[in-house]
Amino acid sequence: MQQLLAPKNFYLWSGRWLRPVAWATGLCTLTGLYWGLVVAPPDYQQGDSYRIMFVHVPSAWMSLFVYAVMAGAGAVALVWRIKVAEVVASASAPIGAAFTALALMTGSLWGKPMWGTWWVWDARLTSELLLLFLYLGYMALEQAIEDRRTATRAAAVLALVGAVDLPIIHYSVEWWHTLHQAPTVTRFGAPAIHGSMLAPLLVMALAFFGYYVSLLLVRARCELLERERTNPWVGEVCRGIP
Amino acid sequence: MERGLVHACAWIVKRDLLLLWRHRAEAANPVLFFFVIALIFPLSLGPEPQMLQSVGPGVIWIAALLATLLSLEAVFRSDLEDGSLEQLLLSPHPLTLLVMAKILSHWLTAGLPLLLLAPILGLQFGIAGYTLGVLLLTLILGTPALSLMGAIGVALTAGLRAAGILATLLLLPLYVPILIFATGATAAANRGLAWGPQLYMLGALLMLAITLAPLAAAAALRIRNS
Amino acid sequence: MSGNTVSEFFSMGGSGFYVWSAYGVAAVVMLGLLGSSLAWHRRLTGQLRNKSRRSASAPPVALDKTGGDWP
Repeated sequence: MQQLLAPKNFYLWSGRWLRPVAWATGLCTLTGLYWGLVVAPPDYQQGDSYRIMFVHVPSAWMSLFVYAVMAGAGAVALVWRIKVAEVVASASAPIGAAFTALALMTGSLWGKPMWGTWWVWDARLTSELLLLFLYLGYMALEQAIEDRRTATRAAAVLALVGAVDLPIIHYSVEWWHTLHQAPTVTRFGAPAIHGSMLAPLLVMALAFFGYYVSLLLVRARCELLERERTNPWVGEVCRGIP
Repeated sequence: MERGLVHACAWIVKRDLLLLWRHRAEAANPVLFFFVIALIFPLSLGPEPQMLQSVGPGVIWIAALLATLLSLEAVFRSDLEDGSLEQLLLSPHPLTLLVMAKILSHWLTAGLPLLLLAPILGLQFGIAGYTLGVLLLTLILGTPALSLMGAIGVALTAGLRAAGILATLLLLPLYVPILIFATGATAAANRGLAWGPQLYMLGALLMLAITLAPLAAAAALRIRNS
Repeated sequence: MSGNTVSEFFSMGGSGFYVWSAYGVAAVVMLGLLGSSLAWHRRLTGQLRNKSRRSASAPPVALDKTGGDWP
């Protein structure tokens, strides 16, 4: 474990694991898509439009999970100044922002047939939108500071403040929503999801998780190369010398 | 040592107030901004008293929020320019408490004037009596929280290009709970409902900000100047 | 699948537009990010390989030993 925290070792290790993870992700994606789009029965209330759930819900889950990873890695980077933690935090931000944007867009596409409008100021949608702005703020701050290490550490402070504030934001938005709930919006409750729909959902969630891990490895490797470009190991690794 | 710390904090507040007094005209800008923002709402939404009364608390809070964001930019700017920020960082006293003093002086110069002017705006929006009192209570609890959390944003962005807009982008999502509970309490008072819970939440947010925000802002200052 | 079930599959009980847009958007965003990240890696390794070859053929200058061994 200690060994893995050296940039060179992490680079080589991640290179070995990238391929198996990517294959497993591809397999999960194909299985999940076939299961979710073809095998799973239509919903008795919503017909087929509920199938958007199989991309929407995993995106929403991952948007929060990636934020947790980003803030956790940021904390590790702040306390122990571990370079690998820095690149993990930095590489996670765009992926998390992409998941958040996807959750919003697919949610909107699901909301149109279900609620009849593209957007409602629903508590979850609003919190998700604020999460997107937290991600974008993180990325903007990291872009604005020239020195890469300082940028990541400063952004880590922001990520931690956001991690403390995020549950409060969510709770406050939820409270705000119950206060202002428009009576015309038909909120459909979330009854216990049937097993025939839950199974493909979990497979898709696994696929999204695998996608995150593979992409995280690729981007973290890039960040390491960028930050360590003056170190001899970078040249050796790029020329294929183990 | 203890006395030295109190002395240092008092010195920071005094110096900031003095600097502000020397640039009186500039210091008045955020306050004017507060007024102008609140003024354009009736002009764009229409003058119906009923409607203005219901949007009033929200408008006054948005104006206070934007005015705070505008004035925050100056918190570390002069210290960065004349090098006294480095003095702060090198001082033997805990940076967290010195940052607290900076935040206090920001609130005294930016938050307090808003508090004093809010009743006038409130009357213009038809908010009076009982509701106005609740609005002022939310401002008393809310504006220090804005200054505290704002200090994190400006500490992270001090000295960067387009620091003001960047700090605004970072801070607005974080400000959402303050805004929601403050306007929620006032709206509830306006409709004769219980506004206590929202005010307690606002107080809790302020306590949380007092405990954590100076720590985060001090950490941010250290990182940016390492 | 016969022609009928294929068209049924694509119409998704009338909500085909929304379902396929959602999956399409997801595919575009996710594959786009993946592609750009892989391209970034390829560009970087290419750049650094060339740089490293050039410095390897040049007479060795003092190597930077300061930042090499810390995590």
